Amino acid sequence: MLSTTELQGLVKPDRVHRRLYQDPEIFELEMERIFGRAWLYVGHESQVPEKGDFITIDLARQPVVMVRDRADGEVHVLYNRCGHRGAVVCNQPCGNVRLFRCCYHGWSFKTSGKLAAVPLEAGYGEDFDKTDPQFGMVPLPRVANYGGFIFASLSDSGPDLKTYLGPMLRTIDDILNLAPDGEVQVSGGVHRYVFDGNWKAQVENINDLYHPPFSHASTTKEDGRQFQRQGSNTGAQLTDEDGNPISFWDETGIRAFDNGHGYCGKLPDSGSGSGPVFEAYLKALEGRHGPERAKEVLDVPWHNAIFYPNLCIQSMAQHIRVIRPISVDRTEVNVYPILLKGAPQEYNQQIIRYLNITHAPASLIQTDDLEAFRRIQSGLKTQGAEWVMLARYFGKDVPTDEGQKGMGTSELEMRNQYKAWADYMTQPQPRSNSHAS
Amino acid sequence: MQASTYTANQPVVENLDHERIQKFVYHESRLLDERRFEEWIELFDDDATYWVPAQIDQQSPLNQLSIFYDDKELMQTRIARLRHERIHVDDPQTRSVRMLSNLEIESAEPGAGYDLRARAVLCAIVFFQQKQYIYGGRCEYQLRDRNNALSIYCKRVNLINCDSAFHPLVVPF
Ligand code: FES
Ligand SMILES: [Fe+2]
Repeated sequence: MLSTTELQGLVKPDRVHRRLYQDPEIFELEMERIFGRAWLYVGHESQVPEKGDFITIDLARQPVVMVRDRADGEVHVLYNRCGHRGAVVCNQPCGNVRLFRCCYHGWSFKTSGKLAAVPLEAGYGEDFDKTDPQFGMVPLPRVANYGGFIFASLSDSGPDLKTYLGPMLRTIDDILNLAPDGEVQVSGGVHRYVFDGNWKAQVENINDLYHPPFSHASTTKEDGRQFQRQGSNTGAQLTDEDGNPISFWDETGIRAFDNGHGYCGKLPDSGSGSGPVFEAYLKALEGRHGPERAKEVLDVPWHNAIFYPNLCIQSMAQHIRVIRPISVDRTEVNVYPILLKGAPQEYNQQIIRYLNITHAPASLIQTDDLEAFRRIQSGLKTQGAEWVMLARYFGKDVPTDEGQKGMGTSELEMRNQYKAWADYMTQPQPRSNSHAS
Repeated sequence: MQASTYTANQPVVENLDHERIQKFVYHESRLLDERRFEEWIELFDDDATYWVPAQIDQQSPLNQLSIFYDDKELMQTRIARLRHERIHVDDPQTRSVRMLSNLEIESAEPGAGYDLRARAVLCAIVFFQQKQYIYGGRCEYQLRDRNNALSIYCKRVNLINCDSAFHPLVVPF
């Protein structure tokens, strides 16, 4: 097993060792020490609007179910495992239940996870305690809800969610403010894609403002403008007419916070819009905030927000992106549109339409990045150079009250992620993974 | 576009020119195999849609995400990108071969906006970035038969694994 010193030696302030992307042992340790401790995004409560509604997902390679309690309407996150001999209980991606029932010997569970009934119970004798949580579907140690966004931690200790997220909470507030009714809804389906690469390549990419003019060259026309993404916007300007990145990519800036979180500045044309659908949306938004404030609310000061390690929220075409590591060289990513309650239906439909173009497995944009992640996985097998450089604008980052800020195309965000990575990975004592022992 | 209204108990109309339509859809599928994308989109009417839903029995392309949901303009953008010299995901070029079978044809009800429906089982074998993938599903065509020429008003491809996770999909089905 890798020692703390060895692990620490794999991360330097401006570079990381290629082993981080290649070594299955490191991957296992990441699942235990990062995904086993951090607050992980699970889902949005609007995915389970009614009592008894559930969704099943994979969280840090473990099947879990997010369910709204039949009795009190609370949202629970349970391990999707039968308290008898361990079968997955709930085998559908979503649905509504009165009780969960295991397919094997028929044990049934309340939507709180508590054991409800055991067929032929007498066979278990007197000291069988049906209220012992281990015989139920065990709840995850900690679950918290911020603005409808449900997070869970596999560890029973650590900072609470608000402390953990710090300045990132603002980005959730910003998204909620975009909804004329103050609430969002995650009910527009999901894009699911996989790539043969390490999960960290996707996380690094989210606030990589250095790559768009090159990785996404195939989406730009001769004038350097990207094709029109959304009905109300013109295409984003990626390069000048000679194909050089425009200075905006640096000017928009980037922010890094504790625990690996951060966001990048807004893109050009964000917050603007035109046409009857946008006007109708604006009117609805003004109804909530008033014209002055509505303008401010629309001018979201960030584009992509990373909640390390498994969540990204994007503001321009509102969506949630969840990163699901499968193995050291395989990752699934799920993309959910964030629909704005109180916005005209056509406005939400534009968000869906746009996400098909940008993030479907057949998208015109994300697919070029997926190919880059696949090539990184292959390229880092080579033995010629040991380090992956993250040195762009290294030493130029400026401290702020909340963390650091850097130029847009700085690799500050990655350096910050690997600082958090090293913090997690060099704490060898796994915190207790179960409170039901 | 609406979900298909094709049901098992609607009789397949006998007097449609089966062979002509078969030829048309075989041709359509070969154009994709041979990456003759410009000719391929020429088969689609200007108001056409190309739809690959992301859910089984998906009702709406507007309120739910889709794997592909293209109008003619987006098809053109997609094809232009496929021709771009720096489309990294398609370097080297994706190869594919499609098998269409079990073709069934029926005429559309009056006022449908198109003239006939055809559906066929699709098996597509795709060689992408050194790995081979098999995709299976059903193609549903809404065709127009005007001035002695067939054209596509809508093509919908229902993949049997449409709600699973996909590697990048470059060439349309
Ligand atoms: S394993 Fe579930 S009831 Fe036996
Ligand atoms: Fe990108």
